[in-house]
Amino acid sequence: MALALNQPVPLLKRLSWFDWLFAAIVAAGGLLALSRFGEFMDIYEKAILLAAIPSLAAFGCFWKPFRPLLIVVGAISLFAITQYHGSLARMEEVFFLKYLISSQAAIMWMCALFGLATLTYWAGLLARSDFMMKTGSAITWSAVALGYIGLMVRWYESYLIGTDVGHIPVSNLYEVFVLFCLITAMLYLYYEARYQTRQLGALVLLVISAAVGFILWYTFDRGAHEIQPLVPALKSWWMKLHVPANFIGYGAFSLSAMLGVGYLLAQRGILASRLPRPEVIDDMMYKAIAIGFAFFTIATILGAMRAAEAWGGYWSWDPKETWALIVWLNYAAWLHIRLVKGLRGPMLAWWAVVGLLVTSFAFLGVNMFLSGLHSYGTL
Amino acid sequence: MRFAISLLSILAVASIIGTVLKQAEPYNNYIIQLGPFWFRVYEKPGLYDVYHASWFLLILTFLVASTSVCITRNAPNFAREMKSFREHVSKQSLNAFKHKHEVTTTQTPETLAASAQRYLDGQGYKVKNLPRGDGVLLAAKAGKKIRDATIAVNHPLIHDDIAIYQASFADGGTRVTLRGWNLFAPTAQSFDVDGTVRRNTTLTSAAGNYTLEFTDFRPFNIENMGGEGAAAGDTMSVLGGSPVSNKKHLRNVGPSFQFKLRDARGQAREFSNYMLPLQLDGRWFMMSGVRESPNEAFRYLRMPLDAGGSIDSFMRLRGALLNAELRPEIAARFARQALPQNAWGTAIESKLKFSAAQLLSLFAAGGFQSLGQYIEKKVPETEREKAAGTYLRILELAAFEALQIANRQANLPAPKTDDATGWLVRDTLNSMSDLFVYGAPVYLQLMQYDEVKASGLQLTRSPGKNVVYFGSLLLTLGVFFMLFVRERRVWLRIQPGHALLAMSSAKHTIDFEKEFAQHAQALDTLAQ
Repeated sequence: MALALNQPVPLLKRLSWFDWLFAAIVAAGGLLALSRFGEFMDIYEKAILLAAIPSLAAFGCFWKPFRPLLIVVGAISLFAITQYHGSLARMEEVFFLKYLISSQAAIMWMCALFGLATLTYWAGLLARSDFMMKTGSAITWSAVALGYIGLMVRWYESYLIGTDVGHIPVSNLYEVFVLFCLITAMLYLYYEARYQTRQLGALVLLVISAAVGFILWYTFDRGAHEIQPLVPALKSWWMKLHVPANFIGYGAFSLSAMLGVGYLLAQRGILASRLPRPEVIDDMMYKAIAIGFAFFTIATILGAMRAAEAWGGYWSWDPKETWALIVWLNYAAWLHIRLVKGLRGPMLAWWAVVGLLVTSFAFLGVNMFLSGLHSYGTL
Repeated sequence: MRFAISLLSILAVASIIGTVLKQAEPYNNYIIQLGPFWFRVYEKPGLYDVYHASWFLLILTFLVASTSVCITRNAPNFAREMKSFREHVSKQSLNAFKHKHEVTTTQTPETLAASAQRYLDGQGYKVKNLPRGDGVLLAAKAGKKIRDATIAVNHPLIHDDIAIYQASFADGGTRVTLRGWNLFAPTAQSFDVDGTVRRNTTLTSAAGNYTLEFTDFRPFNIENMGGEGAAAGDTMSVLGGSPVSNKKHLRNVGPSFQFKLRDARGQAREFSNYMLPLQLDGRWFMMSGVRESPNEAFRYLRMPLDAGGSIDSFMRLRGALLNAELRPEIAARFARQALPQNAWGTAIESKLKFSAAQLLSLFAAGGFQSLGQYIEKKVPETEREKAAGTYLRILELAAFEALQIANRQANLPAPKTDDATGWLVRDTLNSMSDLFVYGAPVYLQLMQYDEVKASGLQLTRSPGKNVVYFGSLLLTLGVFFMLFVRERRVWLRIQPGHALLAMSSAKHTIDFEKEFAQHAQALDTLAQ
């Protein structure tokens, strides 16, 4: 009984040796990058790099599995880069690059693994097999690692094409779709561990698989995977923050929509014995939307700041901006109703599901049907 | 709530209009698309620029005003609530709580209160110990920031508001130094032009005055330069192909500037000239793009560079070929070169001289096109191809002679008789022929620039910048506090013999349930 009286352990005592090792690795990597490439960075980029060191270290302490992920992604990406010897042609010659870790190979592996993870999660859910679901988690983790490796290597490859062409791979629809898959998967994996429930993986992986399907179509039909030069308006440190922040938002909203589906299913007795209790799903849904909303707010503000610099006005009612505002207001209203009016239940779940439509229109529909300042994301 | 929903629906309506109708296009496009009648109907409510239409701004102002009223009315309440410990709760009201836990105890109220206070302190609560008639009330709270957040969230449009009135542009007025040639003058003479992007300059010429409108400047342009890449292979196509396209050669081709040349009748064409030469098919060219309307792609005029990497040889040869006075001399030199010595002074020579001069004047009047028309008119169909070949050969040789004369007149050494000169002459002829469809009487070469970025200008243009930054910061902090700081209150009413624990929070998450269970368990332990 004395357990209940335990005071929370102070932060410093909660950190393990691995936390310190991880922080040291991150700091060493960041400082090495700064000393070797600092002369090519502007003041903002240096500030982002320096701020990334404590942020990543702290994030590693907050979410423990992030530490091995970052180390594995970093190590394999560095290995891949050393295999190029500065020549793109080696992508075709070296075994590792050709079949595993050149950017395109890694991204295709990511797609395949996400597909496999979806099947495994469903098999685990239907067969009530905890082992299958654990396997699903492991496959999802591998897919995430390969996806990040693909993006890292792609970043390097873009500079091999030409120093003027090189840029961070979050600048066209293909690249951000990969990012979307990765972020959604990571958010899900976080909540999976936090709530000790793997059953929702089957649902969440569906939306990731849909994005993977889009990536494949976009690659084979449109050749979208080709690295293109950057639109001048995007040549800025700011993009490195705006786009990831935005996709944490999109990823979290998609996650919450799938959780909404789970809630509605569980409530109607479909798969109810296999899914977690509706209250747990509801709680996850709220947390996902809260995270997404917070980052979407940051992304929108950063976007407005950048717009002021690039186009001379904070807000120009460009279709993408308008729809971003609609998405923002949509989830602001959702949170408002839940927090202030205290509403719960199927109505919010339905709303989260419908929110996915609004979000996907802002994300994809605007690019398909409208044009404007954000036209670098055209389909 | 009502605020958000109504704003949402207005935005939805406006964005549907924005979806159906492309916003802020040139008016001409709307007239073409809609016809004159509907154009005027749509224009009335400002549908071409919905977001700046007065009705839209009016609604927006109204919403901002109503939000402000809401904030001023509720802010004092929030502030009071935030400070208070809500110490005036009665036992009945605590009993009505959903989260309550009752225990019996053998300890005196004071001892239990002291140990419970230590416990709550340790859990991060601020505790107030209030003596009540027959015992003690502990009122505690944690995570008090939530109310601030709700206030901050209620004014989302602050930073948008300022922005609505601002225009957008890309270049902040880069100064450019140009060298210009009158393309249809029979000389290689150039003139200097200074300009500033987004300003106009007037060019005076025999054909009338032109207005030169500098529209944009780009310090770098990454273009696909054709050519074969290295990577291409079987496995990569299985994996969706290489991210490095094998057909593309992307390169930064340097600065370019855009301008419009408007003639006296007000008609304009848009030009885009590169500062640096480009290598195409192994030879170097200066490029100038032209298009008639913004919806078209640029078509490029390519002007060959000489061995010294300069456009001057092209301009000299162009001047000489357009110069009617030089034609007899060119024709004479050509005929002498083309014929063996024993044919000099014969009728053949004068015939050849005559046709060379005729070809030159035809070419000077309209390029290959007028040559083609001439052939169509004079030569029977079966012999046309052969005639065209012969004429082309004559023209090239004559042009080479023209270059010799032009060099001599400019006191320059004679051109070498090699492949490079051959290509220079051929490319010059092609390029001259294109001049007739180029659409401008001048070519402007970018010599120097002094870039002024829009961002530099922007800083002075937004006086409310700090306010905007501060508002944005508040908004972000507000959102984070609202979502991630959990406000919780705990009451512990202790009377001799038993104690009542009650807990409340604005957010009944699973974490809250867990925490309540933990406190209840702790009370059980303490009360023993």
